[in-house]
Amino acid sequence: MTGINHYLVLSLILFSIGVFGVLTRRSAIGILLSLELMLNAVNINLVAFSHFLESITGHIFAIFLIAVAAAESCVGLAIIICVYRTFKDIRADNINLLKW
Amino acid sequence: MSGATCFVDYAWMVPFFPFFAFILISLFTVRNRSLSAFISITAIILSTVYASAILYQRLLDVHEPAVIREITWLTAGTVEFPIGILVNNLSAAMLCMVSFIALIIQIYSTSYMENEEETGFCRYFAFMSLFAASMLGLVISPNFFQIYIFWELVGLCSYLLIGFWYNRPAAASAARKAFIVTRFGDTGFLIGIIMLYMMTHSFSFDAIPALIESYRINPGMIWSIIPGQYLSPDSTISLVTFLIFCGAIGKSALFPLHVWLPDAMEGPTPVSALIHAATMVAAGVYMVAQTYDIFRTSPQTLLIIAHIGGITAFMAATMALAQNDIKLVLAYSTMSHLGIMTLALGMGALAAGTFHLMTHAFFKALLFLCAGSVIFALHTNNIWEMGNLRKSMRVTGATFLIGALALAGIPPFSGFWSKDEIIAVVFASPHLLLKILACLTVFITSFYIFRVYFVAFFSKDRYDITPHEYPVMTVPLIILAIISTVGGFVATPWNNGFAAFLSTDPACEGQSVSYLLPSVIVLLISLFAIGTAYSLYAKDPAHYEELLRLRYKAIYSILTGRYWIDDFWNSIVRVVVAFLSTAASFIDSRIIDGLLVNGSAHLADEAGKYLRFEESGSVQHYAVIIIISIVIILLAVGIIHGFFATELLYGALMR
Repeated sequence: MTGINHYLVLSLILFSIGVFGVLTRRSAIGILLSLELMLNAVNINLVAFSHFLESITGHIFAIFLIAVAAAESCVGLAIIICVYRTFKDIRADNINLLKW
Repeated sequence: MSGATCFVDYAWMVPFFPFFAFILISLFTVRNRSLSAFISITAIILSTVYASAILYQRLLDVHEPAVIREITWLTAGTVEFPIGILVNNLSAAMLCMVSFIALIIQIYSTSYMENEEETGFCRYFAFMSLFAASMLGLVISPNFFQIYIFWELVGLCSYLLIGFWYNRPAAASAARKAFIVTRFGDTGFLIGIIMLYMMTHSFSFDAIPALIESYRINPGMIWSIIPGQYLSPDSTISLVTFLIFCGAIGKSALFPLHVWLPDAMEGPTPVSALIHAATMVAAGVYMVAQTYDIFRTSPQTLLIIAHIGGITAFMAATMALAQNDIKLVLAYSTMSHLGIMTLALGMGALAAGTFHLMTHAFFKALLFLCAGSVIFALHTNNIWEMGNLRKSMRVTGATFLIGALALAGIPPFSGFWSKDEIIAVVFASPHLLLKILACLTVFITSFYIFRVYFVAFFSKDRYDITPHEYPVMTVPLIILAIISTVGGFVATPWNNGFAAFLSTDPACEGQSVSYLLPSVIVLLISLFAIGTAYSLYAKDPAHYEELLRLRYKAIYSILTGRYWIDDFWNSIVRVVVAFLSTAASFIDSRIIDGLLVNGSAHLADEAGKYLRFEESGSVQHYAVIIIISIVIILLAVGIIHGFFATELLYGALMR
């Protein structure tokens, strides 16, 4: 039978893939997608704990999180559009004006 | 509680009026001279009326216990700082005296200061009001904490008013000197207050004497600060009371911290009359009198107090002999009389000392105001540029004579009764040195004041203008002269109303002292001194002065050199200050500036030079650093807590 550990491992794998994506993708869109992956890993965690602790809180939280994630990707996309208008480019490693 | 007691409860109103006047003048009316003077004088009139009402209330029943009202002003840890009022017979009399003299002098000042420009004039009245408020606040202080606050406030006012003509270098440096020298004494005072608090856990005048006695019996329980471990309780008590007295040494210009008072004469003459003759310099004596039960716990301290008083009285009187500045003579005379009061307190003659404080306040204020009137007319302080003034300035001459007679202790003027009492007490004591000093002081006192009188008001005139008197100035003189004439009858040896008024415990002052012999001796000495002064200075003063200065060259050089005490302090200050300033400068420029300030700046600068390459500007680079940091922190927390939280969680899940 599937225990909580299975869910946690799944979530861990998803989260790690997300982190890896955020750190290595060159395209800003890719970074945004990887960020969503990380958020969904968290959602899985929340739902899993909610199930096993027999408490509704985690479910509610997950729903909130989905809504917040949607809003966040809106903001993220808007920023990317702004960045593109300024630099004519959305590759994260090329946008490095903020330095010494 | 009766209605009458209620209004004594509001005694804080007495200092409040002038304080309010100070606020009003300094905020709103600095440009309006008549309004400023009006506000200031109105406020002090209100204070005087209120103080008189309080005094009257006390006179109705002299045995009524003191009114003490205290509230906690602030709390620091376990230490509570109380603030409040203390109205007993002494403070009531003092309130009345201070507010009345302040009133007289402010009225006089409207004329004396009329040549000031308007901001100066208004500033003067603002400071005078502030001084009156601080002094009255000092008088009603019921504890050491509050008295120290007002103690410093009157010191501040003294500084501001000595340096009133601050663009004159002499006045500016005199103000600084007064402030710094009194600070020496105040440091001792503050240390004394703190040690006293550690001994008794109280600031209150009322509670401390009993607590000191319990400390003497059981010293171990209260404190473990250094002196307590090495000194016996008796010595500790003496040390503490002496430190408290140090405040009085500074404030009342007693030997060896008397050096500031002569310089303080740089201020306007009414200021000298009010602050440096009648009230503020007497604050030290008043403080000792008000807390006399504390000083009574240490006979050694009282003996030291008596000797300091006697030495001051004698030295100051001798220095007054060689002065040519009329205000300086009066300044030394004030010092001498403060010494006499202190001597009386040290001898245990509380009522006599306090009574002399009162009479002295009136006749010395009178003398100063007379001097002010002369200075205002002739624009000089030098007695050798005066002469024959009794013809041209009749009121001033007559009132100065009354003041001089009171000062010299000739009956029936007030100085006789108070000084007589003190001399009688000194004669009854076993201290030979003090007896001799007292007799000499009596002689010299009469001599120097009549030297001034004969030189300035007799002989022939040595000026080419016609001096005038002004009624605004002469009326205060007449009022003070009347008080100086009849005031002494409050405490005659056969009916000592003042002593009875002061001591709620009548047995306390019931010393059987023989008055007749000392007063006859004092009177004869004084008359002899006046006769000598007359024969020397009445006809041809310059000739005899010259003769005396030639014959007693050595003595005169000591006296005009002020016993070299100023030089002594100067050299000490020079050595100590030179050492301290070198050390402080080294610490400041090398350690604080060099090592700490510049060092840290250099550290940040150098570190930045290398660390800035970490800032690549790439978001992902930053994200890597953040994630690595978080992982490290989580690992660290996990290692420290041994994954305790996780196990707990698992425990809950597996259940």
